[in-house]
Amino acid sequence: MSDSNHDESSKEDSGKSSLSRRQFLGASAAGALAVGLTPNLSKLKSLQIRPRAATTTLKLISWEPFGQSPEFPAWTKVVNEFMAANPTIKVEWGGWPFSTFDTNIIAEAQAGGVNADVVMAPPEAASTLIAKYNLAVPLQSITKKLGLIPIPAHKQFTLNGNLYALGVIDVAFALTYDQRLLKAAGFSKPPSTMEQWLAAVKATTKSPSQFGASLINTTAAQADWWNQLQNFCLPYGGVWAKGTTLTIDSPANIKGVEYWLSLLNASGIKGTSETALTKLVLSDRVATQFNVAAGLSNYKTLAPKLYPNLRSTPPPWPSKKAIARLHPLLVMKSSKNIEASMKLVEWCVTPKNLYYLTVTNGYPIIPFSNFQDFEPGYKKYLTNTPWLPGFLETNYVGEFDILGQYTYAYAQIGNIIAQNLERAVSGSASVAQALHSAQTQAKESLHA
Amino acid sequence: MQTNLHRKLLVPILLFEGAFVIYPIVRGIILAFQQTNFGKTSWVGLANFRQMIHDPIFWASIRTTFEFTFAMVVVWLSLGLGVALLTNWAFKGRSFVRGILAIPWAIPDVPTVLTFTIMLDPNFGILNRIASWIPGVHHQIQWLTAPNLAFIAIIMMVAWKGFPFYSLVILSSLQAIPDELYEAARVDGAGTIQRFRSITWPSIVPTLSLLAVLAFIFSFQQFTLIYLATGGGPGQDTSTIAILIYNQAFQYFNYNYASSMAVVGLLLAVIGTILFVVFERRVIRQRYLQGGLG
Repeated sequence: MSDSNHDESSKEDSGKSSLSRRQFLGASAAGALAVGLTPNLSKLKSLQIRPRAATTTLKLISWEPFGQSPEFPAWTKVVNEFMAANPTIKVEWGGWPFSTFDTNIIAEAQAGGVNADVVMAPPEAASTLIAKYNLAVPLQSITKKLGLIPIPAHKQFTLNGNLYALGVIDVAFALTYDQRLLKAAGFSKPPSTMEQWLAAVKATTKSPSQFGASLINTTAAQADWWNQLQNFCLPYGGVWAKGTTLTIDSPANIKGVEYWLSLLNASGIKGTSETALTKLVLSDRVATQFNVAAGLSNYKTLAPKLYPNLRSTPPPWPSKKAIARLHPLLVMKSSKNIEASMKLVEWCVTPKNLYYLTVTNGYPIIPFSNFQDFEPGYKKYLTNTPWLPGFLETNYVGEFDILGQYTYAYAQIGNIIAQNLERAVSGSASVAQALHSAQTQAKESLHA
Repeated sequence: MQTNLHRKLLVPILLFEGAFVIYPIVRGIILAFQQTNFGKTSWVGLANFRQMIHDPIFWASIRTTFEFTFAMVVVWLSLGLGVALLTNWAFKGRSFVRGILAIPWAIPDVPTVLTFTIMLDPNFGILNRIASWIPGVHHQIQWLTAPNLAFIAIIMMVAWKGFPFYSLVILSSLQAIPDELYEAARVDGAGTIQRFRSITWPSIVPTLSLLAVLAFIFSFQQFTLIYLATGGGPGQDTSTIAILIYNQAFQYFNYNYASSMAVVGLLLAVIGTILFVVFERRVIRQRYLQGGLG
């Protein structure tokens, strides 16, 4: 009891003394602050009166923030350097992962507009924003200023003579091969005709230990299947759509896809999942691939046995044509900062920066035909990469060249073709029947 | 006072349900009667539904959905019942076996599909390896790409993933049957089949009928396993209405058309569930419960 009383009184005493200490300390601190600041008052005044730079904030949307290293760090470096060079402009990143990017951006466009100043988009989304929704600003003044010549695949971003998007990532196809496996099967040179490719696939297939070609062929992987298959309208000069006319079941396409099917049948990988195919390629058990250049540099670490023997050659059909999927930058018409947005795009396609992004991120094909004239390091890079020459000899076309006005419906047409073609793959229908059915379905679905 | 407190406590959940369940459903129904483009929305009445009626792919997917749903109800309940009966027997290590049997249900969808895709691979899959030992059997069976086989492969996969739930529920129902009933039946000279018919079956029928409703609902809305394994292919052979709605909305960006399909899907699911419940109440309960056991 007495103890508790003692405690209470001591608390009270201590409370009183701390109050006086606080008062004392407060007064001392105020005095010290006043004394300390007096000589610096002029400095403080100068800080206050210096005019603050007006900041323009740009929103750049892309899938890059959700991607894997080293891509985003490389982009961040370029964008940060842009902000350092333009202190009045601040760039904020936004967007969605690549797998849902198209869905989200088209949903925004349908809902009334894209909430961004600058957009990095996959080719079909870019075409949709340009042709269907008329949301982009012409950018040809940038290439003119920099002296860059856009490769013809840029046609898909051209409307009424205006170029609305500039490619910064080029996912270009060519025929890649494992020269060790081809040599072992008696082929000293890569296939340069369609018959030679088929013969090479047959000769190198020793299922289940080795396969002649890696061709995606299951609807579970239909996006990637279509990505590869879309090229097979080209062997006989076909297209999937011309202008506003769908030509899915044209004789040229039927022959092209029949050729694809004969390669698939000869390869022994029918029905094999994409995951298993990737595993086979990386373990050096596949002789040929119809592949994109993007990411092949990663094989150095992912497929150390294959990488030294990896080579490329143009598609073995007479035209040597293949698809270049350009992922461009666009400036949105709705932006309140169009001038600053165009400055950012110009910064990104400036040869020094684009070359840096290309080499760092492993997208070796730069979609400007005279790029080597501006960046000598690029020429050296091309010469020193043994698997690149085939890509450089390929004649590239864009999505617009094979899908016409239906470029915006890239995924839809691909989905329909892949689903129908699976019947031909399983042998329950012919290629002609499958493509005819796809044509009818696509016509109804697109109201063509 | 207490009544008011109950009402107040309900407010958060009602707000949540209203914002995240009721509103999306109502908005989806409204979208089905509209056409939205570039922020401009116009009422189109029944146009989306008229398009649906003339769309052969829609009808094909409805047929596939019902075939799939019917197959899953039968397979899940049969498999669940079989496994429950087996694990209801007393044997050494029964608890361990029951634990192991529950694993498929606990495995997430994506690893399940990846594992099955590898198992069903024509070149490297274990199923085809086993098939190759059988003389005269085609060694490269295209499980996921051949029209009829893909449907069967999907049923196999979905059945494997879901059966533990059904078997565990049926097992708990079996264990609730008093042993005295079986003992009395044995004394009366009833054999195994007779005991099953007269005691086991009537006792678990209410549980089975409830599980049938759940199986109908679960299989009707099945999406992930089918989409990841076949994408709805080959052709439209495994494309249920859930896959079709996804494709229309997120592949083709026809949100309004997809909404109209979703409305029809919702109606079918509700009607199907009501029919099951009515059947369960009127037929099963009258026959097995009101009429007494045996």
